[in-house]
Amino acid sequence: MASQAAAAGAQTGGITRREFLYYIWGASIALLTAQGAGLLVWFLIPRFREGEFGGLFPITFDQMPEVNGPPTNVADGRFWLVNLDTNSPNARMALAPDENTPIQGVAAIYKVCTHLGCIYDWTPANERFECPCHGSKYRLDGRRIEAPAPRTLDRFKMVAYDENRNVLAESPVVDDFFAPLVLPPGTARISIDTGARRRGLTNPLLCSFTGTCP
Amino acid sequence: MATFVDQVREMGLKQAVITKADEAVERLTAGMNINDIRAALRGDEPRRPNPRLRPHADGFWLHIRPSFYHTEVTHIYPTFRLGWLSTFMFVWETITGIVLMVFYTPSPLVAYSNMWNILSNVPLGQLFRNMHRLGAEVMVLVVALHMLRTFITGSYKKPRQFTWVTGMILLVLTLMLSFSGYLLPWDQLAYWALTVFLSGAENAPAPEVVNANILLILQGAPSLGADGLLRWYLLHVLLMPLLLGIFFFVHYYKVVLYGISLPPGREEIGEDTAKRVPRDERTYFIPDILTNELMWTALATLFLVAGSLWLWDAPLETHADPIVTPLHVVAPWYLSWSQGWLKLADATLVVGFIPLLLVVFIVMPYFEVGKSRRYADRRVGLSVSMLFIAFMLVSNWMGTPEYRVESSPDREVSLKFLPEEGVGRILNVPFEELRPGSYLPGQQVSGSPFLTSALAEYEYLMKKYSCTLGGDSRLKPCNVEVLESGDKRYTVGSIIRIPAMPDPYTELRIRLKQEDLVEMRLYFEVVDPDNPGRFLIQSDDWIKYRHRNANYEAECRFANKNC
Repeated sequence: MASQAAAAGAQTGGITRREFLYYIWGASIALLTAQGAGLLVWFLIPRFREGEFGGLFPITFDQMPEVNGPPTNVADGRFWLVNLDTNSPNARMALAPDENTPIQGVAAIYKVCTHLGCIYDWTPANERFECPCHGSKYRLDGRRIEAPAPRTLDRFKMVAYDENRNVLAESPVVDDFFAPLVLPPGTARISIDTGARRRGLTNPLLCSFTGTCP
Repeated sequence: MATFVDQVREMGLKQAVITKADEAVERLTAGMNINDIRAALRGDEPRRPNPRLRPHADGFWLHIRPSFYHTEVTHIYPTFRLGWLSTFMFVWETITGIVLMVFYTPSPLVAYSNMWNILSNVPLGQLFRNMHRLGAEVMVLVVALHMLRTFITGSYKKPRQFTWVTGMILLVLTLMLSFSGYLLPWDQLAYWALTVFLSGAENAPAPEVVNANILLILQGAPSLGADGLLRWYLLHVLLMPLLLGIFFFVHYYKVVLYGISLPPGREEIGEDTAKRVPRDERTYFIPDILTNELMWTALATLFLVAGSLWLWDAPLETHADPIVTPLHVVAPWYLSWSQGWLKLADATLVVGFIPLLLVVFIVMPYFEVGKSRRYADRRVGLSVSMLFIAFMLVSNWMGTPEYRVESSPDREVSLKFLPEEGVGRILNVPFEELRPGSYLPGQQVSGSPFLTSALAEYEYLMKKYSCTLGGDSRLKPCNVEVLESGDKRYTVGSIIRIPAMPDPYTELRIRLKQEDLVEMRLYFEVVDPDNPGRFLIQSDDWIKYRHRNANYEAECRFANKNC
């Protein structure tokens, strides 16, 4: 019977019942393997609790750098504290030709390079942030001076409180990015919320204005 | 079948034992008795039927090896033994790796102290670590050269295209094995190499959700930590060796199936005669190839052991620190090209380009179908390959800190004189010579020859990163560039210009921090030539400590460190 059916199948070019059943077997194993692969991916993705990362880092006023001065390294919070004012420009911080409004206030800049995750450092002699891995350079406020970084350094949210711990001000959000916070009068405490990070913007490289791009 | 007792009765004890031993040897070798082995080693003609073919036919170990080769492929050229050496290196890495696993726990809490235990406490621990690490580097080199040789002799051509494909997979697995082992010591080198690699994966040209999950799967957590180390350990010791083993056997089966291609000039264009070996051109595996491989095993072992003992030490930097990336962090040399590319181009572009390049290499034999393997007929292909090698060498140079990652000149001097990692030029000066005070570059300190020699190095480094505007005869004149912003940039050198300090003042300040501990601090002062009231550079924040018992000088003597 089976050989007759096989012969019939071979003549018509169709598939026999036996061949069909083998395909079903194969397909079920392939499906199981695909499911297994999907489950493996699901299994490998780590689970973590909401709010497990980041936290509120209180800042004291003596940690605050002077206006346009070298930044303060807050190592355990993984951020740099900067104090900016382009109305009194110096070699570290001055308006670029494409910036129209003054940049004023304090900001907390995430210490991780936006390129490939290295921790960049402040180079005092060059008065800018420099990344040791692939050579990205940033201005004091985190804007890119030289590539290969794809965007301005990320920033954390800053919150200013009065003496009674009432929130006076938070970092303003401009273009989906934390702008520097001008501390209102009466600020007694400042906190950095490292759970709230916003990715830097993609502005033109500053070296393109000075003609110093390598 | 006569029992042993019968045999003893019949031929005496001695002869019976010899006969038994002969039988045992014949069973173990699957067909060769003691006399056959000795005859083979003496180079006698085999008896008939040829017992030297039986281990191939009946034995497990040799059944995958051909019983004879074409004599033309048994010389150094054309194979340079590189395929065999790759296999040897894999076996070598497996053995030394298993030994090291005994004393290693993949946890950030103990991995680094495990390393120091292996280096200082485990008998032969440092030797085994050096052998494993040196073997990893040599294996990458050997596999890469093997690919290069295969390309140059045109051995990837029909019918060996698929052998080339599996070879490409083996190359990638070799690189990944070597790189995954990089993380395990959990030192700064490991941590930041992996961080950059993983961030690269995050920048792959794929949807955001895919990238984010790839990163989470590869490091087991939002940032590299305990889960990431465990996962890379498992990749290193289980998954990747397993895959490499599987692909090795596929690869080698194809090598045996098609034979090793003859030197290109030895056969007619378009012919493949590797498997049609005339009787007079056969070199039999037993004894010629086998003894030759024994010799290569001995030589390679000698090189690796001697290199690990006397010539080279596996680096171990300070403990991984997730909040400090050391200056001048570099990728391993075999991935330095990628670091070079990443400095130039968008990360997504680079991360997308590398797999594309691999695919191009993998499918290359199916598109490059020129019939001739002869060098004279393949001028374009060989020229392109040489250009590619030159391109990779330049890319590798671009991966070094000299290219675009130079820090400020004072930092460069500090980093080279008092480095963050390693001993450098001053930490190994004997403690007695490090008396508190201020020292100038090139100063002669009487009675302190080691300090004097270190200060000479200090002077050399200062000269390299300094220039003069005022005609200081010891320094080269400054090149002054005026930037559009009005700032000036001072550089030194005519062709390659590096940032320099104009007429700097510097000193090394040593003070006793506490008993038996000195603090060494580098002070730099560069006055702005246009505004004498202002400093271009004034820094004294580069500090290193040296304890009396730090024993750097002994480490230098013991470990052949460059100091």
